This record gives sequence, structure tokens and C-alpha cells, in this order.
Amino acid sequence: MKRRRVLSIAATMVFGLALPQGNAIAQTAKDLVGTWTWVSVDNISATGARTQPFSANPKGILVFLDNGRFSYLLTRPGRPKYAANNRDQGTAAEDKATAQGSLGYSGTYSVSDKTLIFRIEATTYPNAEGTEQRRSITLTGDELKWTNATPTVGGTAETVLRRVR
Amino acid sequence: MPRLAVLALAVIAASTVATWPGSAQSDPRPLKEQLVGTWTFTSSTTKLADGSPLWGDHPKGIAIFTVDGHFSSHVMRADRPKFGSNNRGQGTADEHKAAVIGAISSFGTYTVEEANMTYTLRYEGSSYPNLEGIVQTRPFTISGDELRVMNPAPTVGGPPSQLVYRRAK
Repeated sequence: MKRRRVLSIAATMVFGLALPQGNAIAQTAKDLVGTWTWVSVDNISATGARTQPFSANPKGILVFLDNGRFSYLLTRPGRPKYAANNRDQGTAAEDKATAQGSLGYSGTYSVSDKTLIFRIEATTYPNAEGTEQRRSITLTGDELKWTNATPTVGGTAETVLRRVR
Repeated sequence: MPRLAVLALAVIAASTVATWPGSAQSDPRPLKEQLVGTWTFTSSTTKLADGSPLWGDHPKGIAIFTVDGHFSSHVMRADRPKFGSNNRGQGTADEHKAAVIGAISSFGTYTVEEANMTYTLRYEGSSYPNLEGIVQTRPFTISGDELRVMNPAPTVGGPPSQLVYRRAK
């Protein structure tokens, strides 16, 4: 235990030395560490039309770990189950509902100048693999809001999350 | 002198146990404490209908078990085609099919049954809707940085799957 603490202190020192201006950044990212749930995800089209592609009550989780990793899953609840009860035997409609009604990301994250940056390693949406995505964030108590200028379905997105206690 | 001998025996015993694959006694901490953290997906024994590995030759994925009892996991094939439209709302039927077969993300809560060496997942949601609401108990062992898990009911059918994860640093 003692050894671990020394190790983590050493790691912090190395990190601090490698990124001298990273102090404030680490502070902000640290504020996000924990488990979050979705309150609302709105998409605003180029013409200004507002939709909720994951329903009015999106379901899922966003975990920010103190090791710099994150895990993100956003789903539209109440989608019909696959009649075959086999993920390899979906109908075209079932697979479409899955592709459009769920979005999973994992990878690493950082925060800089009120911008949250996701570096996506594993995702349900193949086009997002290996991409870096930016969100302008506002953190107020247990509420995290962000805007996304480049959602995977076009337009812009406004998202609200609440910390799970 | 006897004290030294006991110590020496203890060291030998500990090193023997530590090199014994799958041993549950190599780490004295409760299993829950060992499980908490981030794990990188390494392999699964599940095959597709054509006999090829479900997750391809270079699977990617992660499983997170938080100290407050949440889990979140992602597994994907590395060789899925990108959507031609570059818009998640405008995929073709083939793109949807490949995306669904090639990835799964799930979340929920979990508990560890120390005596049984199992953990139980309570799925709150998943990219695959059939997992929503499912409660599933999985036997597991942790040996060093390796986590081995048995999935009793793979989502593509077939026999129980042996999953291997490595602890992410």
C-alpha cells in the first residue's frame, strides 16, 4: 500500500514535470472523475429543428476514471428486443434500431480550457474509431452540460448529464 | 532459526501459488477489491456461425468495474467497414449489420459473490436491447494482471464463452 502511494506520487511528479502547464488541466479533469448519467441529448439540425434521437429519457452511463480513461454508453430505451434472441440474427429493422438507438465509446479523455477531449479507441460506430472529439463543457455542481459541434448524425448537439451519487 | 525456516517456507509457498495459473489465493485481498478498475479485452472463445472468431483477429475493448458498483463494457472488431455517408443516421442495411455484429456496449451494476468466486451483472442497458434487464452471474479468476471470465450465454448463441482481460495500467 505504502509502495503504491510512493509509486503514484512518483507518477504524478513525472507527469507534472512532463507537462509543466498541465496543473490547471489536471484539476479540471479531476472534477469530472466519477459516474454520470444522461439527462437530455438534443440535436439541432442546420435548419434549427430540435430532436431527441435517444428519446426524451436517454439511458446510459458515462464514467470518467482517475487514470484518464472513460466509458460512455448512450441508448434509446424501450427498443424492441431481437425476436431471434441472437445478436447475429437481427432483421434489417432491428439492426437499424440498434445502430441508430445506441452509441458506445471508450478511450482516454482530457480537459483543457473548458473543452473536454475524447480520444476514442473502441466504439459501436466504426467511423468514430480512432477519432478525437471535442465538447465545450460547463460544470455546475452535479450537472455537466456540453455542446458538440460535430455529432455523428450531423447538426449540433446539446447534452446534459447528472452525477450519480 | 525456526522463525527463519517458517519465513522461508512461507516465501516458497507464496511463490508457488503465485505461479500457479488461475489460482485464487495469489492475492489475499477480497475479489471485489481485485476486480475494481479497468480491464482491456484480450480474447473470447466464441465463434460466428462460419467458425471464425466472433471478435476477429484483433479485438478491442474494455471493462470497467467502479468501486461504487457500476460496470461498463465495450467490445468491438477492429475490421468493421466505416459508414459510407459518414453519418450514423444514414447507414445502409449492410453497414448496420456489420456494426451490430462487430460491437457491443453495455452498462449496469454488479456485485461480487466472494465465496462462489463469481460476479453478477445487472444490465441496465446495452447497444443490444435483449440484454436490458438481464441478470447474469459469471465465474471468474484473477491471476496477476489477468482476468478470466466465463460468459454463460453469449449474445450470438453457442456454448459458454471464456473471456480474457488484462489489467489496464
